[in-house]
Amino acid sequence: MEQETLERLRRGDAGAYRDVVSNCAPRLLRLAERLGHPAQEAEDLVQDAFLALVRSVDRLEGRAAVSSWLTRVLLNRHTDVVRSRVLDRSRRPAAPDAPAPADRDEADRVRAALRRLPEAEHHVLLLRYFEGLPYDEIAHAVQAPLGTVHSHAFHGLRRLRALLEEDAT
Amino acid sequence: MNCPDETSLLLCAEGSDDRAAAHVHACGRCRAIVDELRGTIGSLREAVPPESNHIAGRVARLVDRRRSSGGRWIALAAAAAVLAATAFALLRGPEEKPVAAPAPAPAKDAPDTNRQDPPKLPEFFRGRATRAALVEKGGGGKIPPPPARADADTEKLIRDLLRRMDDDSAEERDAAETKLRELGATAAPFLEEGAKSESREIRGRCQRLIAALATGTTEDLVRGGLKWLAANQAGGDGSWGSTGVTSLALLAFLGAGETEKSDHGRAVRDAVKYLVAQQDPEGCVGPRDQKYIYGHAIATWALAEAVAAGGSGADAKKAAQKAVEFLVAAQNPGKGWRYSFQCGDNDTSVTFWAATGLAVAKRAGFEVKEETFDGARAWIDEATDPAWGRTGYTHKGTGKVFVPGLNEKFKHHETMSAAAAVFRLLSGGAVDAQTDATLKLLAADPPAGDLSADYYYWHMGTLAAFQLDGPAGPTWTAWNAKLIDVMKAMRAKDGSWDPTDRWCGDTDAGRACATALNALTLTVYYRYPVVRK
Repeated sequence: MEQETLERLRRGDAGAYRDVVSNCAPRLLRLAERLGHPAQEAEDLVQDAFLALVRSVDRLEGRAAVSSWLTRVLLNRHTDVVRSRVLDRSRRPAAPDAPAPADRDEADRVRAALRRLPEAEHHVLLLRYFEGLPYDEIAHAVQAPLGTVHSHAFHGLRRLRALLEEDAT
Repeated sequence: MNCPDETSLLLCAEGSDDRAAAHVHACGRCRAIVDELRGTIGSLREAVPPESNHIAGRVARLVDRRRSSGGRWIALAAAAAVLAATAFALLRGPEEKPVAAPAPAPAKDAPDTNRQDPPKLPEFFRGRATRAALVEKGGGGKIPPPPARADADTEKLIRDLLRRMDDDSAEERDAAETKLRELGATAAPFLEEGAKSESREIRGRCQRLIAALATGTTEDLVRGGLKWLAANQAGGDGSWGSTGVTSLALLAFLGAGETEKSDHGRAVRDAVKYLVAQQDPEGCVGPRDQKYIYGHAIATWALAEAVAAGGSGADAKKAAQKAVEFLVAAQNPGKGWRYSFQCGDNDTSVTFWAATGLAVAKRAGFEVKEETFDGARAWIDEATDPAWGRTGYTHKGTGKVFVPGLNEKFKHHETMSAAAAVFRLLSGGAVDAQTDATLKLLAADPPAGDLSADYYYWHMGTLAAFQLDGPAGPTWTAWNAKLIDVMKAMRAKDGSWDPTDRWCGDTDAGRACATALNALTLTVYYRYPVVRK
């Protein structure tokens, strides 16, 4: 993490917070929405991430970029929300069936299949191909070794292809 | 020749590293894999969702909250969130609209030339502070002992003053009230009679004096706050800058027993007119900006109370009815509310204002089905940790919420837990172990200044402590003493409150918001009866 930014944050420099929010919020908001959160929930997740930064700023060592660290927090929060929804759904009547494949265009089909991937592969593919992040930054964000990230990308792509073919039949 | 590893094939497919290209070209198996990867990557890149049109604006809001007028609310959220820090952000008025700027000199309300007793209030809003009730329940713990019986001359003076409180001249009425206040406890037995007077004016002033005897400092604070609000209401439209703040200010006037026919009648009338004028054809009060249900919920609450107090005839009643219907319809089916119509998300801060406002509207005579409250209770239950009595903001276990660059250093409080308790009680819900847990949370974190200052928490905590513990309860008594201390300390000389707490910020909009909320908080003694059985 950039030491200068960290130092300014630790000093409680309001300007530093504004800079971090200005620089990171667009990507975080976009990512949250691409993870499937409605606009307001996406904003809450982003705010949660900035809150976590404030809480943890004294403990951060600066080994990763602030933006990568915030991305990691956002992904963790997203996982929490998804899990709580799964638990909630398990207590409610089943929702109506999703639209049949024929009702969706190709982009919808791809995004729907992406969401069916294992979480780690989903996150890596989303960060790589939707957000365009370099692999080393993705590794920081998902807290995994670089080789593991490559592996998630490789197998995620192959699994995604299989799901799309399965969906088409 | 060995085939390259997965990473090499991946990077080859992406075109970011072509060291494996020669092998892939020569190896059918690897070429098939890379072709498949390329095809899938292409599909993914074509499926990148379009960026939301509003991203830039939303980021600008996040960045600029510190400087935007009143944007710190939230939040109401509460922030909000929020308080829900973000929660109260919705109380911000239109960006381009000038916020009610302090007037050079507070203009005294013009004497009302059309004074008359209003219709009889519904039971829930009546007798907000009869001395008997205050004495019986402790009145905030500061009822003075009965004085020696007034001599004949003093009794004559007091009765004369009581009559003068119904004079046509506002100055005369104020002077009589001031004199009675100076007589203090000696006048108390006569005030009790006055509180039952046929005259609404005498009745209302006596109730205020009784409350002042119980908690003299509190009454002074309320009067000062209302006076500042009346002097700083926008002359053009009757607002205090936004739907949310105007609704809070109107609730403060109504909570203090003001009506369209009393001393601050003009302020009340203009505020009601403003809210009615803000209603769209579907019933939503205020602009449908990012978090409009917040403002609409508080406006619904205020309009319902204004109608209960005999306000603004058919227009206000019709507007309140439509506002109630819109708010009920906006609820997430079987759950609570959040920022927009049936948005699918719930938060405790918005749900408090919506559900409790509807509960009060129901007590004011508007029809609200019980299933509406059942849904809100379902959300509160879902967000509450029964082991600790803590209710979260957007889910169970949420902690501190803040606006970056504005209030991250302020202390977190159990605002949402208090709000949940108030809703449970005022909507007629059962009191259970949750109640004791909430009281303990409040007892452990009484109102305090500096980085603990949080007007939103004080509001929710005050309502909760008073309703849960009763006016003579030890938690309420201790809370109230601290509340008055910090309210005095943070009040400005002009009667307003410095917007230097966790949410209100330091602008004129913040000052109006802080003053409306704090004045409303301090009407707790007579605003609603204690409903806990």
